[in-house]
Amino acid sequence: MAQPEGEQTPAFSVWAEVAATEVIISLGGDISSEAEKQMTEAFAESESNKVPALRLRFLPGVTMTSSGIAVLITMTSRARKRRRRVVVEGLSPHYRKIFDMIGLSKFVTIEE
Amino acid sequence: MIDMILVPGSDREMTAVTDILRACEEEGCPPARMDDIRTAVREACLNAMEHGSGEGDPPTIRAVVSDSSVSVEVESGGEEFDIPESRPSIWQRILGTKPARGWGLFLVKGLADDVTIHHRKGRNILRMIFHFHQSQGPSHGTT
Repeated sequence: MAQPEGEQTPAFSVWAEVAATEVIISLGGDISSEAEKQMTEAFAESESNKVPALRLRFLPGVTMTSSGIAVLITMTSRARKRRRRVVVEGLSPHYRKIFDMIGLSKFVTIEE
Repeated sequence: MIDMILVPGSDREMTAVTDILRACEEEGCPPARMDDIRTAVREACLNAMEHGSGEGDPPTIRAVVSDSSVSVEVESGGEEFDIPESRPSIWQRILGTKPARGWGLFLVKGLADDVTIHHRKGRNILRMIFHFHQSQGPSHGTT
C-alpha cells in the first residue's frame, strides 16, 4: 500500500451481503467524509436483518481519513446498541495501529 | 522543497501527499513509515482546508525532505487550534454522547515524531517531523 506512484485516492466502494449469522459490509478504496452517505445507507439496509454479527471487510489497498474512521465508530456504536458483535477483517498493519491508537480495537474483534 | 497552496474543496491535499511520499521514497523511507506520513500529512491538510480557509487566504503546505527525515509545515488561518493533550474518549463516541469525529490532530500527534503549533499573526503553523527510521519517542509542543 505504501508506494506513492500514481497515488490518487482510489474510488470508494461499499456493498452489503447477508450470510447465515452475519451481515458483511465490504469496503474498498478511500474511506473519507465523501463515503459517509453510501456507508450509512449500506449499514442502514443491513440493520433490518436480525443476524447477530456485523463484519466489516476491508479490501486490499483501503485508505481512510479520520472522517471515515468516525463513520466506522458510528457503525460500531449502532451495532452494539443492537447487541451485534462487530468483526473487522482485512485491516492493514497501519490501520490496525490506528485502531489501537484511538481505542476502537477494544470494541471490535479484529481478524487477519 | 515542496511548496503548494491547498485549495479548499479540491483534492489538492492528495497531490501534496503524493509529491511528499515520492520524495521520501527516493530517500529510502520504509513503506510502513510512508503510511504514517500519508495519514498524518493528509489529516493536517484536511484540517487546514476545513477550518482554516478564509476568502483569498488559502492554507499552504511546505515540505523539506532530507536523507533521513521529512519536515512538513501546514499554515492556515481560522481559529487558533492546539494539539490535543490526551486521546479523545472513544467511550463517549461509542455511547453516542459525543460526535464521532475529531480524531485528525490526535492522529497527527501520534504518527509524527515531533509536532509543534505556532500561532503567528492570526495564522496557525503546524509543523511535523518524521524520521524515516524511528529511534526517538515523539515530542510535541505549542507556542
